[in-house]
Amino acid sequence: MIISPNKGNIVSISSYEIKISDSNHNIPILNGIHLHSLLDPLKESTELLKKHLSLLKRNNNLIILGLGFGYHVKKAMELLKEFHGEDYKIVIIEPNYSIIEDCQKYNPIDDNRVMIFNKHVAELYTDKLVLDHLYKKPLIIIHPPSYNVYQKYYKEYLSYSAPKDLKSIYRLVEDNEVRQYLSNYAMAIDGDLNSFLEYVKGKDKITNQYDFIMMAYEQIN
Amino acid sequence: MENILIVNCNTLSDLFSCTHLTNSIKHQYPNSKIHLLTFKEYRPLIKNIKNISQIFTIDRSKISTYKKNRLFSEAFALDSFARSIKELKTFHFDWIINYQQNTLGNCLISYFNPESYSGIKILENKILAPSNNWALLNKSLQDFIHNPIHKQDMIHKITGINWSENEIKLLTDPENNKLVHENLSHFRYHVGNKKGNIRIVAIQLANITNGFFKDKFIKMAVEHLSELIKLLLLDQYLHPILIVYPNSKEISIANQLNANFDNSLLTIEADTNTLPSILVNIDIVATCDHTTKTIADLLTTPTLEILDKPSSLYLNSSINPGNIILSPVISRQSIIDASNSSEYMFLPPGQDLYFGIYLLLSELVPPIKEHHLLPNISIYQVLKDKYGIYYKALTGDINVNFELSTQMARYYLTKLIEKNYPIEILNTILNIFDKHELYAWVDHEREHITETVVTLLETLKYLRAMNKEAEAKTHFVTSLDKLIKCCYHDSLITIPCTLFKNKLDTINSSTLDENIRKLDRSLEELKANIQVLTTSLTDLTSLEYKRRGGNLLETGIF
Repeated sequence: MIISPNKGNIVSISSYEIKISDSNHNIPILNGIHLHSLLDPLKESTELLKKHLSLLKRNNNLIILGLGFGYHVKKAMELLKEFHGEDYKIVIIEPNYSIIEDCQKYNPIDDNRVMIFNKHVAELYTDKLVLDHLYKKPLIIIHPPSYNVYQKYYKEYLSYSAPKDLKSIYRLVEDNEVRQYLSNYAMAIDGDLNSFLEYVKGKDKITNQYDFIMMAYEQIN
Repeated sequence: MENILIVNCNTLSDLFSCTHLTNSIKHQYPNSKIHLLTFKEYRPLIKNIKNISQIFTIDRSKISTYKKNRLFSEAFALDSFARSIKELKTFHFDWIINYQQNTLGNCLISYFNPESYSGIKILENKILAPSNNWALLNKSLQDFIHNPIHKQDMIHKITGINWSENEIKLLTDPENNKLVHENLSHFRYHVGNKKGNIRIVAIQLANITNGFFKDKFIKMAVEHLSELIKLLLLDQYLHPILIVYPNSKEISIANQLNANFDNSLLTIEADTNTLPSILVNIDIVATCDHTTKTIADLLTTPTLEILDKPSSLYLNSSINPGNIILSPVISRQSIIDASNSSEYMFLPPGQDLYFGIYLLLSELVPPIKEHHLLPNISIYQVLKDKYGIYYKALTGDINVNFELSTQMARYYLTKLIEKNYPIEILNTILNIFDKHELYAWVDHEREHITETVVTLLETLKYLRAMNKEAEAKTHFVTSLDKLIKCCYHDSLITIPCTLFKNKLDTINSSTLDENIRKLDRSLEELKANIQVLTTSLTDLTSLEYKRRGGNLLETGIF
């Protein structure tokens, strides 16, 4: 399991305790909300994933919102293995680092195809691993109790829209030369990339070879 | 010319059609290495293209997703694109060819700044530097309603490469070939037992399904194709099969068709990697799909092409001499109407398609009895002379003025750019059109020329008076506006006027005097180009006169 941690709690929690279920499993309780069934979390996980069976058969890439103690994650892994063999990937978005630590302690997930991200929403959408995963149009499964606890965080995640202004864009460009080229204009041009493209096309002269790259880039749709 | 890069980022059929150029280049520069820049999604589909040393790609799908999806910052799209382009900069290319002659290719030429290029380079002061006059002409005519020089001819002229006809142009997989050959041989034998020796006519459904999503169109397509299939089944020389791309929509339509024939039709699923093996093993393909038609051209499989829209002729129509094209009637208006319509569809009835197949086989099988095509349908035959590809209107609804204009435009442009007299083109015209049609058309053209020249002279007059007379400015603007409107006439005068209009877009000096000077030069150039048009018409009428027994020397021509 790969963990990409913030190493802190991104959301504030007023109470956290762990109880044992009737089936002898550890159950985290956050802010009074049980993250899994106190009767049988495995059965509960099976029921949760049953609703997504047909989609799981078609999609080997998954995002799960909420780790809990991973019972539903392991069920998802089992199903994905059945449908897709070794070819699957799961990204889990979990804002509570304590939960991640305790999950590893009580119900460790040992699979490099599972990645847990503990980051602020804006950071998630700039993380290359998350982005590569998102590009594959994964199935999103919400873990309802986790969603109830971290509603604000997950709502922000689901409604996220990347900033369009040039200042935000250039900072994320990995290519040094392109980033430097854009940064020269980012302070002067108050707008998005389209405004910048219009500016480049409207210039009297080509002042930088990257002007050609920008004009060529505009043609890709 | 050691390392040559061809920038070809457009459609899949463009990639296949590029094979004509790569073969010609290889013939002329046998030691050259030809590389291709295209979109990543095409890489697995173009394994059959010969003579390509390396394929570089731009991940259009990823870039487009990053651009359009709100979740992703456009920074990632830029990164992906920049990475692809900068990878290329580590190679040294002696020559970069912009196959599409589009802005993307021109920007890349300008960025890489190679020793040689074919296309348009953008200079530092944003002036466009075409690689030759054909490149300049092609750019100018991009907005032109109907470029009379076939795209393949144009790219060969722009690159200065001679067509090479004799090479094998597309690789086919020997295993696939063997399998298809065996299966189709059994099929021929089986059908032949009932019919005798048959020619297999493969009907390719793509584009019928891609272009016509609406049920009513598909219903019509199924009806018309069923009619064709019925005729072919009854025919003693021909027998139909269906070819479909392996997607659910095409398979569903093939099933609908097959249901009309008790599921007795042979249907072959073929992607672009296996399609060549099928096309070398059948006798005729009937298609409106650009990729299929392009591959059939490369393999010299006789093709009945169903044109998807009027503007496609000369753009990407079949180029093998002898092939037949069924087309909607082509005129300036029909091209405009088709491009403005979101529901445009052309699929002739089965009887007309059947007639087209027989024209394709005219030297091999007895002709069918006289057949009248439905209104607004034309049939063309692909022909080639030393100046390139042209299409002869054989029968059907023909707009004579438009056809004459197209043929004469070839003559005019060759004369204008190459400064020679392609007399063979004139002879072709005189063989096709009768004297009365010709002279009526010439008169029509001369009227437009006269009108335009009057406007041009007025424009020049007012331009030159602008610094002296206050009112001249207003008159100049009015005349110039009138001159630009000549670009939209239904006549050959639109060509020099369109070239002039494109020149106007580049006039943007910082001083009025400099702009006036540039405009003056452009108007003089327009005058010269119109003069070439005028003499082209005279060349035509003089040759016609000579053929009737007149003395050409008396006319002063040639």
